[in-house]
Amino acid sequence: MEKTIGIQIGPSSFVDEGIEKCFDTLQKSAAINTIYLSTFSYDRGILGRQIPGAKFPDHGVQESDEKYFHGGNYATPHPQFYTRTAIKGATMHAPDFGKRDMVAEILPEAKKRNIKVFCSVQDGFNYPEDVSADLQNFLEVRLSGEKGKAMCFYNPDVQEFWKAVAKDLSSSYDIDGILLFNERNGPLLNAIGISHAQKIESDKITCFCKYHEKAAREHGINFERAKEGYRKLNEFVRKSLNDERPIDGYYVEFNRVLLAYPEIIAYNKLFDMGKREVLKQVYNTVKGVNKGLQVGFHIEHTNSFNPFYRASRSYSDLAKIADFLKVVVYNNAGGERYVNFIKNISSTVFRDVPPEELMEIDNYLLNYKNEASFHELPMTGLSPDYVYRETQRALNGVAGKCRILPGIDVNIPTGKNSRKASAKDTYEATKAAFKAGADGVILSRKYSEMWMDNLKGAGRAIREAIDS
Amino acid sequence: MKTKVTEKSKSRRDFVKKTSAFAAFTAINPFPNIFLSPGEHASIPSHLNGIQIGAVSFVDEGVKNVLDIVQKRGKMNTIFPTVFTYGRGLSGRQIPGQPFPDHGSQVSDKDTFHGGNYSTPHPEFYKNTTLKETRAPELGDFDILAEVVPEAKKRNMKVFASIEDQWRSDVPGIEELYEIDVMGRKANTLCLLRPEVRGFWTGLAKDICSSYDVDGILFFNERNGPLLNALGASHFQTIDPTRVTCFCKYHQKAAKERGIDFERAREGYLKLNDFVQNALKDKRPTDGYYVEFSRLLLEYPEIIAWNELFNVSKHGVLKEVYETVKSVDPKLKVGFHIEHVNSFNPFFRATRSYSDLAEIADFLKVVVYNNAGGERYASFIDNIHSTIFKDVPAEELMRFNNHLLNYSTEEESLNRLPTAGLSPDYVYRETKRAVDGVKGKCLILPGIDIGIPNSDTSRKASPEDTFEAVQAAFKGGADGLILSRKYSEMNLENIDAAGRAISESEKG
Repeated sequence: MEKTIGIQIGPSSFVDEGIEKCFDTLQKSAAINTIYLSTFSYDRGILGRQIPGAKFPDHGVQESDEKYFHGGNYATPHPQFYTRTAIKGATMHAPDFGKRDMVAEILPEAKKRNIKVFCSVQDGFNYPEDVSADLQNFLEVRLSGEKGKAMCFYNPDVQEFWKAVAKDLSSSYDIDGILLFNERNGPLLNAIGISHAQKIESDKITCFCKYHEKAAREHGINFERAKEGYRKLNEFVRKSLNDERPIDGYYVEFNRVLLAYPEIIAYNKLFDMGKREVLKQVYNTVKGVNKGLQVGFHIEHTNSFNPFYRASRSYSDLAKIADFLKVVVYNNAGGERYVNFIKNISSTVFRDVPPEELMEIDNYLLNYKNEASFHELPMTGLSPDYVYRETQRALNGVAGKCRILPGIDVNIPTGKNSRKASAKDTYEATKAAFKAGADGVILSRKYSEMWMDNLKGAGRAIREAIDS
Repeated sequence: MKTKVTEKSKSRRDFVKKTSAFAAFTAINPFPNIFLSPGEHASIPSHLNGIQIGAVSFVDEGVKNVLDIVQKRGKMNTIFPTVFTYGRGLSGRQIPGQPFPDHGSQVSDKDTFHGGNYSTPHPEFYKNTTLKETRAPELGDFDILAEVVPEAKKRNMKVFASIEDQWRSDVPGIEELYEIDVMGRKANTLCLLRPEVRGFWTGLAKDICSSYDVDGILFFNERNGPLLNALGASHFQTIDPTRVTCFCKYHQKAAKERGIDFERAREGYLKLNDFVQNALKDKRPTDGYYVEFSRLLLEYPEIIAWNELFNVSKHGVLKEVYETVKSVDPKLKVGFHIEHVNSFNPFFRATRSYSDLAEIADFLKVVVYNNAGGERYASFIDNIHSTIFKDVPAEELMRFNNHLLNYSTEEESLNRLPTAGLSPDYVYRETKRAVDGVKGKCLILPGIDIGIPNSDTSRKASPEDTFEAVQAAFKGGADGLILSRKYSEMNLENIDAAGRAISESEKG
């Protein structure tokens, strides 16, 4: 099977730079044969021009789109697909470019060039105020009882909504498939801040809505005990952040809370099950339209450096409901992200362990080798070897049941003092993915933040892999 | 015996210097009120300082002589005679193969040691158990409590009867009470949910407290739950997850009452066995050992729930023993031996809470055996390094664990630990943790390591080591101490050293 040489690209790049020119550039610089067009999203990670404050790359419009960026559905939502959900999907057309249907505009040129088109669909952490106002009935409920910012997986309208988006895109356009993004974590991991991007806000964890309550009951989980457990966990986290060390240490106390409230883990698993169910429904929906269409899932960065998260996901299980997995192996941004993750967990559960030593232990658990020290890592980034190992792990995990397309970091914005990837860095990361046996790559996160030298660096490695 | 001065012992002396400021504090620490009966104040020392002694020592060396030695040389005001056990850790002469100490018979009792009840069991107390014939035969008619209690009382020494959950296979009636392992086989431990077993422990405690003028009971039960056993998450065991217990009908019933699915639990433990066996054969899971283990726990929450069932049953027995003793006489005191694994296993720590234990105990004997602790801790690290943490080099794993446990960064490296032992600072920290944990609700009596046998190449405690460990316990705020494990394995010069440290702490 031909290797997938993919790139994530937002509609704004085609608007700003022209469809033909964009494709020319992508094909020439990096031998791209597949695009992952951000079609439904409200997130700047895969949409819009360069994120505000970060340096513009050497192509595209050099002016921020802050004034008009909104997000939404960049294709044309067709009302007949949204009849089974109360969420008004038909009204969620992205207003950024007026009434333009970017999928319809881009597809013909892509087909002309034999470039495959996958629509990227993203379930975000939050929504713009106007959209959020319409989504009130579908938002998660926090431990405090307040509304959260993301949509609840167990809400039947939400489940129907994602199916509708997938069915609409798969039925209405001659695309090759869907790439679904969902980076959300369960309440246990969120409570202890066990990710790279988040603040630790253990009182804001979700979801405790009536649908979750029902699902909990169906799975034999005591909902009230789960809430009580998360309140205790919240206390533990607050005290940890206030340096109030438990007599037996942070780690022991954390485990004691989990032992006293097994519902905490069970409830976190309920989240994972809800998320997996949405993925499965999207997969089945797309296959219901056309078995030849391919469905893939973005596997978030946390999966790479958090052993607890790893335990809650299984590549072999995901392979049963996916044709491909885009496994995030962003090594350059990974440096500061991994450090942030270590900082987070050494603020709570592992507060007794110096962060640099904690990272060394985590490296062993994750099978990372020879990475830079905790203090140096943001400046060095993770190595190409990290890309190799994580790609290989995914390939071993799926055991041939689905394709592995590592997400390659091409100029993902990082902090002021963190590493900015050179063209050589990108070349080596891409090469490492192929060395591990990847079925292709997806250059990430979006074309509008990538520099041409880096894109060419990726292209050089790609061509070497194809030619070898 | 002269002790070679080493870097280690130098650092130990430094530690003693640093502790001098605490001596005044420990000297004025009043004997805790919960141990006082009306009119007792005048005769009570500031700490409860005791020693564990097996029956054979009294027979070999004479009751009066032994009490003289421990009282005069060791400054002991309390004894913990071993009344019931089939184990050699608390009973018998020096364990076979180890050098004899400088007192007592120098002939091994390996051919005569039997174990059992070294006092006189009175049948009326054993109506609720099938375990009726437990009298220890090897010392003839010698009744440890009948012989020792009057002599101890004459000397104003308190007496707590030690009873231990350790058995041998030829005890009449024991066959039917064994636990059932995950493969359906009989184990060699007794099921703590069986009424006959519980009836035995309450019967024994009631018998001792009703029939003798003792001051209370010290109950030993070092058993772990199936999860920790499956992983070998202890210091002395071999790793064989097919042997984990208990899956008997009583456990099934208790599980059902708690909403735990028996079949899922059994399936989970069989999967855990697969994981462990693969780990021991170096078959690394794709996502690493730790991730695979965690995944198993997520997939089978029944594994943890079943482990908790063990803890509930164990604490149920402790509570029943406590209540039984109090029903005989509320003034009698009950204490529990808190096993060594509690000290170096963070998972185990999480399953025990000092504040909870303090609700059902008057005192806790917290094991802080620092000398034997060196090789034991190293063994524990080796064990968990063979399974869950196989991806982490053992040396670094130990350093990581030291942080979790709040051990000093000055403890020795893994390779040197058996020959160095854990430091007096370890004794201090673990004592303080226990004292802080119980919040004054019960007494903390650290168990001090005196000559606990270890391997040929491991550290043999010098008198100076013993002195420093005792000082460290008092610095940690101990309400007293218990010299362990048994008089018949202790050299007298180490007992002298303990006595010296006690005297110094009381002088201030």
